Amino acid sequence: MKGSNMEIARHWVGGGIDNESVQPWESLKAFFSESDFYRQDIKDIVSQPDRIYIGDEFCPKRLPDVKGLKNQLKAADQKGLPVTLLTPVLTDGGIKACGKLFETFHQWDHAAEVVVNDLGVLLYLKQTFPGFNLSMGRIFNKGFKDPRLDKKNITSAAAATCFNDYSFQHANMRGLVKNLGIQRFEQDLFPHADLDPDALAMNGSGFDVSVYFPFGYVTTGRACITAGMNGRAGAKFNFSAGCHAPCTTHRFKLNHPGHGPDLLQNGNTIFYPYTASMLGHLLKSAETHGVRLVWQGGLA
Amino acid sequence: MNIITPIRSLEELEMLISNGADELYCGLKTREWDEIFSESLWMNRRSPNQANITSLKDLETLISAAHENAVKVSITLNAPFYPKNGMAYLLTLCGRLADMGVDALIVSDLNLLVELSRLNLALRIHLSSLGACFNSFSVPLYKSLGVKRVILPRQLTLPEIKAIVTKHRDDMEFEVFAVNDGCYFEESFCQTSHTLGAFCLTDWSITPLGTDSPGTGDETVYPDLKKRLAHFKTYLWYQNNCGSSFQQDGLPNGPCSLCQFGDFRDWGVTAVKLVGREASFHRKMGSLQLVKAVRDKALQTQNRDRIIDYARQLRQTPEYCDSGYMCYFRKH
Repeated sequence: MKGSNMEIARHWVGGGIDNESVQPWESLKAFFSESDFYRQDIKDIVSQPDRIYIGDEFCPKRLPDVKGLKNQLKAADQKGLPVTLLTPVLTDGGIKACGKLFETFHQWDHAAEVVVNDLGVLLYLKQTFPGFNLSMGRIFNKGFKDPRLDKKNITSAAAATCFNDYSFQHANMRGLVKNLGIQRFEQDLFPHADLDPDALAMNGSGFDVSVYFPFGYVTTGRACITAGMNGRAGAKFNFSAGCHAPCTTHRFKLNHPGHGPDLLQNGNTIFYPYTASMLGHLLKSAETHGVRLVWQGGLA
Repeated sequence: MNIITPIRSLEELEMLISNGADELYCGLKTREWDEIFSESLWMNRRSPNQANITSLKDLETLISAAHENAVKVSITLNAPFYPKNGMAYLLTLCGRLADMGVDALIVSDLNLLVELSRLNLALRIHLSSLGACFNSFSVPLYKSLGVKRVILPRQLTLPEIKAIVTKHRDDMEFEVFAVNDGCYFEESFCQTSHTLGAFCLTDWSITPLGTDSPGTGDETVYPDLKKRLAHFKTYLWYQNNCGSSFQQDGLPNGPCSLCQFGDFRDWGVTAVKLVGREASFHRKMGSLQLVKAVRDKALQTQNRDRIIDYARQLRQTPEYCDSGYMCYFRKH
């Protein structure tokens, strides 16, 4: 059951309108035990979102066009829900190409929330649309995430401590981005970190916190194995080429014995699934510590 | 346009300087760092024992010899993230490196950049490619943190490089990759660890999750999935220095930007970089000879086609060049 203090956002993955009404729960079974999901009432919780996320953090080709954006905003309005726009790393050309998208979003709400994953995008938006509420995206949050790592092999106490440390925990990062007008950190649950709700919520930092679930991201890049399955030889993996977004329908599971859990490949990005204990911890933290949860079940 | 070359031991020094290196960069393995982390955590992105200078005394000798030859020396502190319990030692080390005459630090971690900007050490700060400068809008922020040179990431196209460099060439130096070691993922955003081996080169079993019908088998998703994945393996082979191979004349194979040196020269790129601190003596020497030959050609002739022809002639592998996978930076 969704708690009264819990804030839930749902990411309309892939540019659709509530594509999770056809949520492929079946695909999630490839990574999660169904009993974990039902025991923790996740299905119930994410069916009552307080906010919608649109856009994409990893691929500019998965950003909506202006028409798609308007449709999404209209749909969110009809549900009475505020909207957060996710943005990926962008080049100069990418920023220029997104000008109308940003303008349209700005017209919809001058103070809307935008998640940035690129310092240039941050500075551009701050200058061009100063009313936006900017959040620091999870790509900025570096730490120790490699899912192949077996903590049992780390014998040094100092090294083990590092698993609980990541960029957003550092005073320098917080000071830098506070001066840039950032109000919120967006992050994953780190796979090897202790489950500490105070650390996760960054209590006392003055920042709000969002956490994505049920997957965290491991690695990404502009070359895309999914898009690379199409096109002629030699033209594949060209990150500036057009793309018909096969990632909206084709997802993959990565497995290697002895290399940790099965991983999810969605488009150009690889994700790790949270364990049952991570999911339980996250739901509890959302209720007790005011952490916003961003549901991305549609990735699978 | 300077040539910046990796070095991992004093044994390589004379060879690199005599073959035309204008700048050197290296990583360090120190006893103090290993005492903190018991060798579980690398101080930079490359293997401590295979790619790094292992003694500060050797580093002093290296700096002295390099400076006698007007060659500058940079130190890589390019881990994407340094934990809090290593930061105090790192800052002490940076102060010591400045006292030793190191010319520049190559840094990507924003927390470390902020710390260094406060210390105002007597050395330059170069933003690592892991710093992810993908557009010109971010350059002023790096400049405000004391960065004097930006090393651009591999995953840019030529027009994207041009947009960044030509906009800021008067107030920032830029360095681009010249040869060796592609990277399938963008290393700036890759949160895997090389200590466990290259994540991208792991032989993952890849199975489709299905389309509209969950659990659908290979045959309906991609009937020829194996063939399609074979292209991916081919791409990785090129990224991995064409299987770490060499040409018949001993020059190394691998991704490069040699044909584009004319553009880099015209746009105002400050330095071209050889990758591979852990590479063998022979790969380093061959890579340097290759890059120097094309860089010198680019300084001799304004005709870009002649530079391209010369680079391809040196490469001796037109089939690789025509594969579409050998260039770091594509034309569009």
